[in-house]
Amino acid sequence: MFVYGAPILKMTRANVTKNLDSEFVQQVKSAGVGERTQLWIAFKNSLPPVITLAGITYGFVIGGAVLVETIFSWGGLGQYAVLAISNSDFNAIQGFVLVATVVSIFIFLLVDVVHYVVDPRIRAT
Amino acid sequence: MDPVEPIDATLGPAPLTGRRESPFRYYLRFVLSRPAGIFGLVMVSAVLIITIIAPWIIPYDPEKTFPGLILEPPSGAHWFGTDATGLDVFSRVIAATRTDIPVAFAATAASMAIGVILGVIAGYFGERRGLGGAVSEIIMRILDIFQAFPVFVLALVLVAAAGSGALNVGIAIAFVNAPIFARLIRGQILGLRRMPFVEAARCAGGTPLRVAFHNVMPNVISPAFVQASVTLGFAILLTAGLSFVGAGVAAPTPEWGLMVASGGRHIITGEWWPSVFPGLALGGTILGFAFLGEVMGQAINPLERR
Amino acid sequence: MSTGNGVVLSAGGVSTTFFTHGGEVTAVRDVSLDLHKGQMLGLVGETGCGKSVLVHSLVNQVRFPGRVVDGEVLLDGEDLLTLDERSLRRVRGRKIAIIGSNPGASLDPLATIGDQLGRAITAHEKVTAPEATARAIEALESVGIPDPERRKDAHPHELSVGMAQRVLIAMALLHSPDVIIADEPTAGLDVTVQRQVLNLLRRLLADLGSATMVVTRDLGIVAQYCDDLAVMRDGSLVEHTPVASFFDRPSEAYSRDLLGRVMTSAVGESTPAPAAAPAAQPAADPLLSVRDLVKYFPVRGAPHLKVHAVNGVSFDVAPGEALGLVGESGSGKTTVGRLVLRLIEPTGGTIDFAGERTSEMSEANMRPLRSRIQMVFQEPHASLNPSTSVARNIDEPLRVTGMGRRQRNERVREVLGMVHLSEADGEKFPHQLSAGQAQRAGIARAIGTEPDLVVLDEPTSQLDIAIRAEIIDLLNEISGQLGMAYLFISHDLTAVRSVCSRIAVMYLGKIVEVAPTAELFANQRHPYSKALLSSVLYPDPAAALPDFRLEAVPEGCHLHPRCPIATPECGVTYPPLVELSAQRHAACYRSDVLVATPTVREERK
Repeated sequence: MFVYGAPILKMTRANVTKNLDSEFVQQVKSAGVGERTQLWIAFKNSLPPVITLAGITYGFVIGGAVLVETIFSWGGLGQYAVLAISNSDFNAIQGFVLVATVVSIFIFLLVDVVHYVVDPRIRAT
Repeated sequence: MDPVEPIDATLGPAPLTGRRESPFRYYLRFVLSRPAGIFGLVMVSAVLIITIIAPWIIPYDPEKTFPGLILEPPSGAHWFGTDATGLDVFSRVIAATRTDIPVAFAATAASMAIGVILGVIAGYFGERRGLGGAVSEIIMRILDIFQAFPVFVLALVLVAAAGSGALNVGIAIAFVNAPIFARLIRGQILGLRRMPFVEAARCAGGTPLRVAFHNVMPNVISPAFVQASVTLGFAILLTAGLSFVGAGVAAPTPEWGLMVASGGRHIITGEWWPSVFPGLALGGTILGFAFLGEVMGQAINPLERR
Repeated sequence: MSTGNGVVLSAGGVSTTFFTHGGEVTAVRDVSLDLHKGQMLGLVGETGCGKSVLVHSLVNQVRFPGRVVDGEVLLDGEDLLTLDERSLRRVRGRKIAIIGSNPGASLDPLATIGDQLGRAITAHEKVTAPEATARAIEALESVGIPDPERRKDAHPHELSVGMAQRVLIAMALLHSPDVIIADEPTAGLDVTVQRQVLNLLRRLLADLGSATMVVTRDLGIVAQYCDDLAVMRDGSLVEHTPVASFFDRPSEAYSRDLLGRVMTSAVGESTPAPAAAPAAQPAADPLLSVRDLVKYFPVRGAPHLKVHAVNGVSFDVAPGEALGLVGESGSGKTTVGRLVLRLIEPTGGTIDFAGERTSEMSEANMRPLRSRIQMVFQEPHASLNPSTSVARNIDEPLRVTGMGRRQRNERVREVLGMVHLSEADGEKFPHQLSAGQAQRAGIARAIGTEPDLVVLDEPTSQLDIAIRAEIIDLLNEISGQLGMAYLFISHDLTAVRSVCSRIAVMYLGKIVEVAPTAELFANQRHPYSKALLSSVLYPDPAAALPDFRLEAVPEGCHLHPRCPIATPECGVTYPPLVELSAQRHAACYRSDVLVATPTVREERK
């Protein structure tokens, strides 16, 4: 699933680049702190939006799974859902939607928890 | 510290610093300055032109079978060969633009309209007390519910519930994408609405709706158009994907995803042409929109510009 | 080189160019200067003159796409411009340190300030973690941050701007550097906090004996704190002299110009308030009448806490009168302006405008009245809608008046002329205007409907000194022509003085003194007014401002913890605003004491 990693990589890179140019990293630089620490600070500050993106990516992965499983005839949840739809098997569709949605909500929760841990500004509110 | 003004000037318009030339010319210039942009623009223009002139360039009726010509390889008469039911693949690949592209455009336009309106309301009235705040809150919760479903799953369910067919596919895609626009616009407006010019518009005596749509919205509409070009590619993919798994357009309507699906089973036996040609058309089109959207995104986001 | 006559840092022929897509822009042009041990050099210049780029050039830390293209910066026998990153890292923070201009953005939002100081310590010294923590606490203590043990665990968003600036100072001084460069260290701070920070800086520097350069736009700071002065314009140094001789006899025409403008706006004796005559006695029916106005803001995440932004404010504005509302930021003066315009809802109290109780009107009923109360905002560019032309912006308030399109266009042309903008300027988009022009457009928008009252919310505070004077003149000119009333909100006393006939001073949500301008400047009957006017407020940083967000407003008189003449009574009940003489009110139990002490005006000897 390298396809889904690409946007995350791109966003991380863009954010780190932006943060390296930010005043707080420049400040650290002018205090004589080493490049590795500068990079770490920039990286940590670029995490929150990246985490959000990673959470959203899950939805696309599920969609991708449906297609991939159909193409290669893998007997997975995605193929099961497609079969259910072409057979109008509504109970099976409901089941699939329920599973996909519960997992999705769980992942959003996870994203929020990680945000909470990383960002003290969120902890304050 | 001093802002280094000369640099900003050369970067062209950021959403808020305004624009030096018309937005259209700025984007065109920017897109043409990058290889990916030129590729995207060429692909998208080509697809759009083909869509318009399709009826005049297809050699055969895309839904007319040639009974004696089952799975014929590409030849002078049938450039892309024929498929398992004896249909001309070239004609169908070209004619399919008239299914996929209008569905994608209509769906994107609809989702953008819905999304922008909801986004402006949710953004301008959000996190406030009173009726506006309540409406905004309800909008956001509904969007949350929609976004809790993975995109493809939601589209599947909508089509499964409403029945297949181009119209329902379009509606499903519009629903799936509207929250993306709404959130984008809402985010932009939340950032803008404490700007003094918004208060100035209130001082000028504008009603809340007028301030929201007349004064604030024009400042955030560019990102929505950029998002639209990304969404278009995605909408085509969804249309094809839904048809591919049998939840979209039904045969014998020419449609790329459907053709890939029905042609796919013959690949093992060596008859690659019924699936590969529509696949290439689909991939090229999506890639074109994706590249164009990507470059336009760079044009609007100073962060990614260097 | 660095040994002779106390020169610590010597820059010669420094030029810095930005290589952009649009071509090369030279931001610093052949600048040479020396910094001497134990001396402070003030570098002044207006926005965009290249001051900050020069600062970054001196430590060889110019941001992409800029590069130092020529010159040398000698420190301790090394040319910083030829050192590699590795050697530079050894020098930065240890031998030369920078104090940034934007404390809010210069601290890592995700780390505690203790950790951030720790990073700066371990960058140059091998110390254990507990040692670093101890040093961090010590450093926080040295810059007068109360309760450093607890504060070291605070994140930057929990600090006020003044506190954050102190942290940056602490960080810069950690390794007792030979050279300290402060880039607008007080730009975002209130007047009184500015003094505290500068006094602190000066005291710490006196101990260290470092060579210092302070970059600023404020000549007052230079006059009071610096030994030498350099004036920068368009990337070049146009003047470099001892401070004393500069103020006596500036050699360069530009410097003379700069100084002349500051002096006239600071002294301002020659321009008494023009609107004084009609407003001398309050008319029977005031145009605006505010009584016991209260506004609480809930504190995010702490529903039981409230910020008392405005805490019982009463005043009148007569038709055609210009009333000044002065105070530091946090005093609630801007909130009062926004309440008068009903941009926010009052928590309590009443507002009457032209005989109507606007504080109880619905938004819809308020709308027709809006053309009669207009506002000029603090940020000139941000207050104009960037997506429409300047003329359309000015047109906006006219639309509700029911004028026809042609009539409105005519009116837009007329007001553009009144604020000295051309019709061509009207066709431009806001970002194409300079800050001064944009503020003129903002004023044009406010006067288009011929309002009875214009609320001016810090209209000059974001502008360069030269432009400030222009805007002030324009405001006087317009009130002379149209005769509307002003509510002029500002922390800049000199600006208020030349526009307003009467001034109300606010402190922590209350009006502490109201007086006609001339009388207030002659003598102040409230210790806070006195402090504000002399701008020398309690130089001891230990008596720092109570931090708003962390501590509650004090019992009794809000000022009493900082007040030199407070009595026990002051700490118990808030003194009422009592009439001292006609039109003079003050809220102080001891205002009689103040009559005896003459004002210490901060002026050059």
